[in-house]
Amino acid sequence: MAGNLRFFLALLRMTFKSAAMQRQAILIRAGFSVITHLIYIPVWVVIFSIAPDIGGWTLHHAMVAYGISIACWGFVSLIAFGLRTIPEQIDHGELDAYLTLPKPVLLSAAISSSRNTGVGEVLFGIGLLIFCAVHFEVDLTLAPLFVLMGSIVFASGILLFASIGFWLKQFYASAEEIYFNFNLMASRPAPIFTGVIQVIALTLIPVGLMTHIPIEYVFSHRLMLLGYSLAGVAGYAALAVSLFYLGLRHYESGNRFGVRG
Amino acid sequence: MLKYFHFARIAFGDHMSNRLRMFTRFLIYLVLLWVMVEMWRVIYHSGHAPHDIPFVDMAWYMGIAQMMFFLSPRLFVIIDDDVRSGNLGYFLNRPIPYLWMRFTEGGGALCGNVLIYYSAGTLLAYLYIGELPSNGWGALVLVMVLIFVASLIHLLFQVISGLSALWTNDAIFIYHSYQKMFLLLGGIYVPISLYPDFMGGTFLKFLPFAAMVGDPCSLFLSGHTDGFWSILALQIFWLIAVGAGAWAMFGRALRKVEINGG
Repeated sequence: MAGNLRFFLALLRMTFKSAAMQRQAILIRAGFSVITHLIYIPVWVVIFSIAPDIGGWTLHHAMVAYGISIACWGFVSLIAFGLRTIPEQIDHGELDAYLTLPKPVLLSAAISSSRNTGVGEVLFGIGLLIFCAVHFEVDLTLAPLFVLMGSIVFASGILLFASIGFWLKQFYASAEEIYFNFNLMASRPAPIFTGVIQVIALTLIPVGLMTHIPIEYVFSHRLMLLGYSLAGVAGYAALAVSLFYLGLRHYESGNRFGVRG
Repeated sequence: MLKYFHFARIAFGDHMSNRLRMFTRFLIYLVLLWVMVEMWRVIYHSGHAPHDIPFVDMAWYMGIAQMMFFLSPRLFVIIDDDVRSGNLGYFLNRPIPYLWMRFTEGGGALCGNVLIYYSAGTLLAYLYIGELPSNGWGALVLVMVLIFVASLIHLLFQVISGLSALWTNDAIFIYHSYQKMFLLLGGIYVPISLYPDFMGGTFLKFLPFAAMVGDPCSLFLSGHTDGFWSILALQIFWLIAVGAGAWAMFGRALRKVEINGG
């Protein structure tokens, strides 16, 4: 366990070192990323100028949800972008290289690459949460926990859908669509998710665990909600990891002829 | 022109053969349609509904506005890949301009999507919403014609986003900026007529973003379809203008490729 943690930290150091080599590119992309997300804020302002509340959700709720979802997207892009490329790695047989290493395949595959636009998204997300705390006087003391939980849910969601690539070939483009819309839905008002879609939002695509329940906790302070949310995050992460290793066993049993130069 | 037809035909066949990707994308469209319609249903139930727009028309507006995003293939990803892998250099030797080759390929895939979304998509939207828009099926057909032209403009914007990778090494963040501008100025989530005055809705209607979604879908809300020809004329203007912009950008890109060697 301690060895894996050291390996994880070493991989993270390498990721950040590699990102730091392209300071100018990071700054340009981070700047663009912040501007891009700033453009999106007026969309919510317009919606809430028509309807001051959507089933009890106000502009405050929407801003907090957007801050958490974007920060989570940024963290996952920055630290574990490799998760998003797993279907591609499967199709190209790139997991073979990790199978020969003594360290967990999932850790190597997840942290094998990083996307430096994540810096801008993390900064924007955290900045928006701080703005909400100051301007709307929302108690966001637990915001770091929410972002951590949200990032785990989002990363697990990516892993779960990426693992389908073990059984379905050329799943990369489909998986990308799912990741993007997973994050998009996390910023949608919770009251619109009812019936079957609410069940999906708490199980298969648990955007409820990512933003809806933490936000409900922020505004109602019901500790029970936080407990459910933590249990849900742990369960979903365990499910995603299990599916990955199940798929990996299927992958290991296959044969792929190729020459590496 | 025949060569363009064949590129579009092959892209159509290729697109239709990847059933998994098409099915996933269609499923996501249905979820987003559901989310947007439900959002407006909650707004209508809470008493904040715009007085002059029936819920059915708003639901059709949202359904078709979401559909527009799903009709075009993700062309910018292919161009971004060509630029980053250096494949762009190989395509330049061919007796067909790279820009129009990719555009016609996008058009071929777009036709594939049109077949599915205009049939299964509208049928499911109808079953979900429960009735046709107040203007009847005629308005729906006219909006679909306009949305097809809009998708061609969207493809050209994607070409521009993809070519930007020559300067930025990554087209995705340029595309995301464009996409967010589109969401804000195109009237995707809220009809432009409902925008607050300070947003300048009267001016926004003439921009390419509104010409692609907000203006066509507003035919559902106006109670008549008189605006069809003026919207089509505006779309053709933007199709030519954005196409000229893409061509000019491609010219600059070519010079850069020659200097840097791809």
